[in-house]
Amino acid sequence: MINLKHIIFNYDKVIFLAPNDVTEFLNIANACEVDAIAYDYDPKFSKTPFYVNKDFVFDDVDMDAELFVHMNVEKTYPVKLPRGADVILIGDNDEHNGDCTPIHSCQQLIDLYNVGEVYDQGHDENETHYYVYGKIDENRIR
Amino acid sequence: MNFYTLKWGDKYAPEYVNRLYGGIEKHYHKPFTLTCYTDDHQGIREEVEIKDIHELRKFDTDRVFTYEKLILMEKHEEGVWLDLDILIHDDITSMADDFSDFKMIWNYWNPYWMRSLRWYGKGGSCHVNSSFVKFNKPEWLIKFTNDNWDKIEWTYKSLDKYLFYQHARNDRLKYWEDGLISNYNVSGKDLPGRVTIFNTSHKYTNKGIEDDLVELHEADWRVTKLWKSYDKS
Repeated sequence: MINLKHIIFNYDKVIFLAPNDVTEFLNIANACEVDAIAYDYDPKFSKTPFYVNKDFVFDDVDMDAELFVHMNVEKTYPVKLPRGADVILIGDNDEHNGDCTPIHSCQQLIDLYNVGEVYDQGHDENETHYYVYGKIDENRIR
Repeated sequence: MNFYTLKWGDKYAPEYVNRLYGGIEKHYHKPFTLTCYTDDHQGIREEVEIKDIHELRKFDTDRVFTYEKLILMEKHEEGVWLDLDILIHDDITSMADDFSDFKMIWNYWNPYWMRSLRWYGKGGSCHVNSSFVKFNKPEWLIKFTNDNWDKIEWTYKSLDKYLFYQHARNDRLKYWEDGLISNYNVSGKDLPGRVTIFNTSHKYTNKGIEDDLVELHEADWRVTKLWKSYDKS
């Protein structure tokens, strides 16, 4: 799967979306002067540094970043990410309770989020987890 | 007070509607009406007002189980919505006459940390229940629902999950006090409180729930005897 740590350091501002526990990434990134935060509504992150305890789909949040790392895509509505921003989208087809968007292919991720240019894509050995790294289409329709 | 319920398909027989009416008649001590939104009025007692359930299906979707309850609040300013699979067994007058704009059930019987917070981030939690709800012009809820319907429809399999994740999370809801509502599948035949719910729908809308859940008509004979006593005499 994709090596997030290497990619993050190429950006000045990064937002993680619904990542669950990425405290290690956030701590390292911010220590190295990458402005990195995470939006996750789980109350267990309410006092965790660099977390904003909100639902990025329904709540009013600032979506200004050079790179969005959306983990657990299978659990969220496909919001419109800013045109021209870089994205890493990671999702699975495990179909757990609470999954509303099971991900069955890289192409599905590309279509859901209007990824124009794809830098990298792939899946795990079992073909249950998929990722796409690319740029949101500058000329998307929706 | 105006009470409302929904009945579609063949999961629940008309006796459920008729005995719900009888339960209200016995335990709500003021004038009332009961309206049943349904796709089949056969066998429902004549005191119950019948309306077509399609009047509540403005979004034409099979997702967000029982979202029709939300549409009730667009059509009626004040009322109480009741699920069919509840048993009223004590005075509900003060509950039905409550002044809250929206008051529903908090599942006090489940340990919040273990059953809800633990799985919160997975999106699989639900600690509220809409089997007995008092509403009184909750304009904020109607507006939020209409403004965000595309996201709600995409995200949530049930009304209760929508209410839990979007409105309980933001402290917008009020709940019945602890002790008023019980869950038969937790507390059993002693029927504590004033109203008992059976709460089986989540078993059919979620994977991996192995609980042996009992419907009202399958309950202990002492419970079904009380329920049957609400038949029209």
